[in-house]
Amino acid sequence: MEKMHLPSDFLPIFIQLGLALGFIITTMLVTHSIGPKRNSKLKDEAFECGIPAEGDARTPISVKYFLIAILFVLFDVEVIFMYPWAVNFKSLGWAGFVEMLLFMGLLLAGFYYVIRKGVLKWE
Amino acid sequence: MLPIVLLSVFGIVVLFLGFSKSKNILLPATLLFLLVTLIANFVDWNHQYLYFNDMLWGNNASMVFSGIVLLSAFFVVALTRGFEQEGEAAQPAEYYGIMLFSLVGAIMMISYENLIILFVGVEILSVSIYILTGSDKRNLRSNEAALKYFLMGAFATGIMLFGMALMYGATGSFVISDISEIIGTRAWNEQSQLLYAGLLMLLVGLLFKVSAAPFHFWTPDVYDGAPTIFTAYMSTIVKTAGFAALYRLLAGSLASLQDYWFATLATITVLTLLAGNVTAVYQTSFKRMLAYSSISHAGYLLIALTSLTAKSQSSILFYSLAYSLSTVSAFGVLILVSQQQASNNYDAFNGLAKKNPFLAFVLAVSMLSLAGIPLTAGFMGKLFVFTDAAQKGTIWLLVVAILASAIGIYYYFRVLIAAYFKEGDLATIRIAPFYKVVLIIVTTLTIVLGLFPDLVLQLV
Amino acid sequence: MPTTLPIFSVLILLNVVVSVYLERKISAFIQDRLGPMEVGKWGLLQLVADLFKLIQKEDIVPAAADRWLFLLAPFVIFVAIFAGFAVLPLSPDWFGSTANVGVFFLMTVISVDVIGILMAGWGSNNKYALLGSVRAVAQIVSYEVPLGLSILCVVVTCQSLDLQEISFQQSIFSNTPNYLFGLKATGIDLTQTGGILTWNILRNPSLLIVYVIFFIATLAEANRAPFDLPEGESELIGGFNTEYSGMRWALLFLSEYAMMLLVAFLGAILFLGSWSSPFPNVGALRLADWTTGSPGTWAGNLWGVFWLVSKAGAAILVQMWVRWTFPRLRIDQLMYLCWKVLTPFALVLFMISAIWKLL
Repeated sequence: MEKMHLPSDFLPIFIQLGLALGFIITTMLVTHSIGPKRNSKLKDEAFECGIPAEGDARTPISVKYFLIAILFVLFDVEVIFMYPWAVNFKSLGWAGFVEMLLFMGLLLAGFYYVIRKGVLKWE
Repeated sequence: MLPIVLLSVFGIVVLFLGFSKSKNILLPATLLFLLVTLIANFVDWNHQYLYFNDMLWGNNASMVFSGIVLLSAFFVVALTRGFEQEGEAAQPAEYYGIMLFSLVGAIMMISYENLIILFVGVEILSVSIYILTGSDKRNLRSNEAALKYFLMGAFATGIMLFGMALMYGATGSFVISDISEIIGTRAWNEQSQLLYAGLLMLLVGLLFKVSAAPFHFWTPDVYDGAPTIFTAYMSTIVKTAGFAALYRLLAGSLASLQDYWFATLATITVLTLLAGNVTAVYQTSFKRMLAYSSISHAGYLLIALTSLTAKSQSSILFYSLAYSLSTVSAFGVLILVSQQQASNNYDAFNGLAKKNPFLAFVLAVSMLSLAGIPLTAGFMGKLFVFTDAAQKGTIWLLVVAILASAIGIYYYFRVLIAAYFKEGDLATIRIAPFYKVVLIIVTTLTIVLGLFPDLVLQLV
Repeated sequence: MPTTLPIFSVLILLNVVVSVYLERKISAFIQDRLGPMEVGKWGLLQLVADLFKLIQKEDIVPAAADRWLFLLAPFVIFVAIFAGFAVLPLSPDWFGSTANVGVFFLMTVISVDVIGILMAGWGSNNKYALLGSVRAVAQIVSYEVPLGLSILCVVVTCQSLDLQEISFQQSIFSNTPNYLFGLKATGIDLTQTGGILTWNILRNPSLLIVYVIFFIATLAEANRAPFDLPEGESELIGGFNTEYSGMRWALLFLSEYAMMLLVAFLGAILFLGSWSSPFPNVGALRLADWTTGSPGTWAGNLWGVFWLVSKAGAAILVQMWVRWTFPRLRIDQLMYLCWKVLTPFALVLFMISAIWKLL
């Protein structure tokens, strides 16, 4: 299936985005026009099991979550690097394969390091 | 190319060595790795090479620059004895590893052929230095310094990247030699305006890294806040690599536009000289004074760059070496003294010569060299730089520089006065033998290069 | 012509109605209950009643909330997942965007979901919502690694990022020859045989295991049990859904089911032969030809849609079955599973897939 790829190939994606927005706008308009609007102080409070809300909700979060976020950045970038390789690797042959092995080796070395450092210890 | 590969591999190896039980193996291993890299660095001696699809370029000069960086790194790492015992928060393997990785960035900055590599190199070096700056995790000032450096550095790198993009827009290439060719075909007033905007932004980014005025405001706080050993590290390596990169950029691709950028760079040079030297006078902390001194030395190096004569490269090279050596020994003494006195101020050095004549001598040589007194490497360095300016015929620049060095003598001598002529309660400082050897080598080199500068100059 | 867009738009809404009803009935069956029985025969109209109820509800914005973040978050989540459908093919002749980076686009657009969830959690300014969204982000972000790697295994086998191209390779219309187990050495050409034998899971048998990894990762991506920690109603009330009401909540709910559908489709396309029939041609029994039709005709399109929707529907049923069978994981178990089990396995399988292709 050899075919030309044009920027217009992306048009359906934008149509789909438009459809989604259209759906949202319609339903929001409907719900706003037929739904009630009754505010009260108690009703507008943040929900906390029925008791009055205590303190700020935006409390510090365990640093583990941030480590996961950083790890994700690393790994996802590596995975993204592999996509173009995966599409073309047959034409790159064994040399390309060895290069990817090297790349993965480095990645795995880093992965092992991360595990040894206990970054992924959540217990 | 070989040093880059080696350093990357060694960096990983060091990280993994950190898992082994005995932490004592780390320092010798790192030193060994640095030594191996230093030797491997000169494999291509007397050849000119292009590597990785013309991404990296190397000739003798770039190899000597890399050599200076590696040598300074070797000395600084050798002086790190001691931070292994800083408690469980310390991560020696990580610090050594990051140092090795940062050298990869430095070497890339020195021998880039493609501007992308320059960017990658700057990032590798900077990010490592941000981390090292904040490595004293429980110290608020260290944290502050790291954050400050990171935020400003990130902006500077961003501006630099914008500059590269504009230059690409103007010339259609990232490759140094191509850019030079394309610029060469047009007169200076026919160039695309994008090129000038890009060049300016690129310069801003790089000048930030070498802490030239008016982009120097981060320097004192960061140098002061960082652990002393890493201050020594960044003041030598970043400066050398930064100036090598600047020289490569200006001489390699933009030499034909010198008339255009000369005025800008000359102004920055004067500003840097004045800002560095004048502010340094008012400091009470020796460490902070060294930070300002590093700014002023950036100014002297900029003179050679601004003049851009045939000899500029060798003068930048020699000056960087002289500066690196003296800085390493100054910080080496400071580390020992501040460990004893828990202070970085001039007062801490009071009476150093009485009980510790060796340290006082090392300090004296280093200060004389930084001030540019004859018989030291620093003097020869300044001499070459000033000769460049004279050749270019910019006498006014020369006058400013000489006045600046006169001011410099004042603050460099203050610490010597404290060490030799003031009374103090400094006890004898025990120096580890290895530490002593490093200090001896550095001091000897400073004097030898002051007497026989040709030893290095004939290499290029 | 991207015929699939209107079809998918209807399908997404239809899917919610059908699968919510199904989910309630299946869970009732698994737990030996009856499920909804009041509205309509066997409770068939329950969902319609629920829809009318939701649309009439008040749209409450808590006073403490970050108003714009709070209001926009459901839109971001919904639009992101909705847009993902734009690249899916439905039959040999019905396809959406022909962009040749379909798989890549899907991965990207699914990631945008995370931003919406974080907006919802942070914007609500509610402890449960924030905790839920942080958990959701950590989980989605972590499982994107094995998900990306498992999709990579397919990409390496098919050498394409275009979902329609991947579909064609698994069908009897493939213009590259398909051999038994993808091995040329076997010398058995299955190109004209088609059916289940040319599906990706059999073109490269290691993809069978990869599909399991893919399935687990997509469960986590869709925040489905046993990976529903972000919502964990017994501890977090509703996670990032807590403060939402009325139609905004309905949008979040819709997105969850749309996500289930999306990953079910994706799994079917990548691993289970897309729109091609599972029956192979055996000698004179042209089962594959009979159940495929020819491309471009109504028969061809309807068969394609039928097979693909059935495969996706089956996957959704399994998702529900899993939900009502397994208890919720703890967060440390979740991370353990992702980083220390799925990711290394996926990496090894990726290498195996690459070598398999080179053989």
